[in-house]
Amino acid sequence: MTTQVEKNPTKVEKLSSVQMAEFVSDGYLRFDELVPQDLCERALEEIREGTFRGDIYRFFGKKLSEVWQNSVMSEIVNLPRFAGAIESLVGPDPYFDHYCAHQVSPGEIRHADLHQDAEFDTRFNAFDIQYSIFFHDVTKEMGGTLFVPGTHFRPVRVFGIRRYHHIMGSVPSVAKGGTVIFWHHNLWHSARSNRTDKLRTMFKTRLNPSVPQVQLWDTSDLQDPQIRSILSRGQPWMAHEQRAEIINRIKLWRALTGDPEYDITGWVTRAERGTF
Amino acid sequence: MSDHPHRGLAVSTRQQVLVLYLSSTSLEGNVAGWAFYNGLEEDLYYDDDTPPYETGVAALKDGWRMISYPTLHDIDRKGGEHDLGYFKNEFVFEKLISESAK
Repeated sequence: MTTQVEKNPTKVEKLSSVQMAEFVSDGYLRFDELVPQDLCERALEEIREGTFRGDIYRFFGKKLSEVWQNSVMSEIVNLPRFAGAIESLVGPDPYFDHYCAHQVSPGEIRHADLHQDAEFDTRFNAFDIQYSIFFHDVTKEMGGTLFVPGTHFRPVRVFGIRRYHHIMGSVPSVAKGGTVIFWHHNLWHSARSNRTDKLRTMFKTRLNPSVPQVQLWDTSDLQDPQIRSILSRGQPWMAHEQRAEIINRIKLWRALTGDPEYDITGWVTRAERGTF
Repeated sequence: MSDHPHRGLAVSTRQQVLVLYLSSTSLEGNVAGWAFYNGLEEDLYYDDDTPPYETGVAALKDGWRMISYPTLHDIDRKGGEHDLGYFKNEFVFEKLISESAK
């Protein structure tokens, strides 16, 4: 069977190694105004028309190219930078998992909503991505999804983190329309209160890798010295566990690059040498 | 529910609770996260992104009574040295506020 991808190969602009290191370190990548305004408006219209109502898991296991072929969503995921980010993170034409058009009503208050989507997913050297598209401008008053950078190595029980109302270093998705955030499936996140009189809409989709996630991006900058500092940096909330965080990043970077000897200050290598 | 024996007890104070997540196991650690519940108000929460104090000590000096001090945990299992999860440095404080001070 010929897939849409084979019939209409998309020109993709893959991520760089520096961007991949950012993803490994922070658990997300943000692209401001990636989706053109006309596509955003058409997507909002499809949401209003009910295109995405129904069982949000009904496409599970299909390839991304098989889903929404007559929807503007297909045009969006085939934008060169959008397609390049997807291919760099989870490979060409990944498996579709599920989607959701999240909407927060005008004046809806969300006090304690911090959660993790998939602590039951025990993969370490592999991950799904979720992409969140903000089709319209999101102001601070409107809320938007809040992410806690670097928390993707911390499995917790879904809403077990609701007591953390404020975490230093959290990033609210205050964004212009068309902004997209690609994020690791275990990144802690939260919907925020919408203190405006406008409906807030965010479209989220989860994708599973179609191939081993090894060097799927543009690796021409793989030796860039920034990578080490990106993988080493802390977050304000990390406290005394920052070393364990960095060791987990080293392990994932080794898996993604296929380099079993990559290390920072010898933390992993030293332990692997064992005792004599 | 209104006639439940635990409800409606006559008290003259209400509790405010401040939970600080610090950057260290010591009260001297910097505030890395927090939550606040205000028993005096209808809306229990105070939705502000600015941390109330820089350190746990600063909260203590400002009159907050510490009522919970985090237990130190050994690494749970051999091989679990890199396991991470919930935040560990959780300090709980309270203030009892007189109803008349509201």
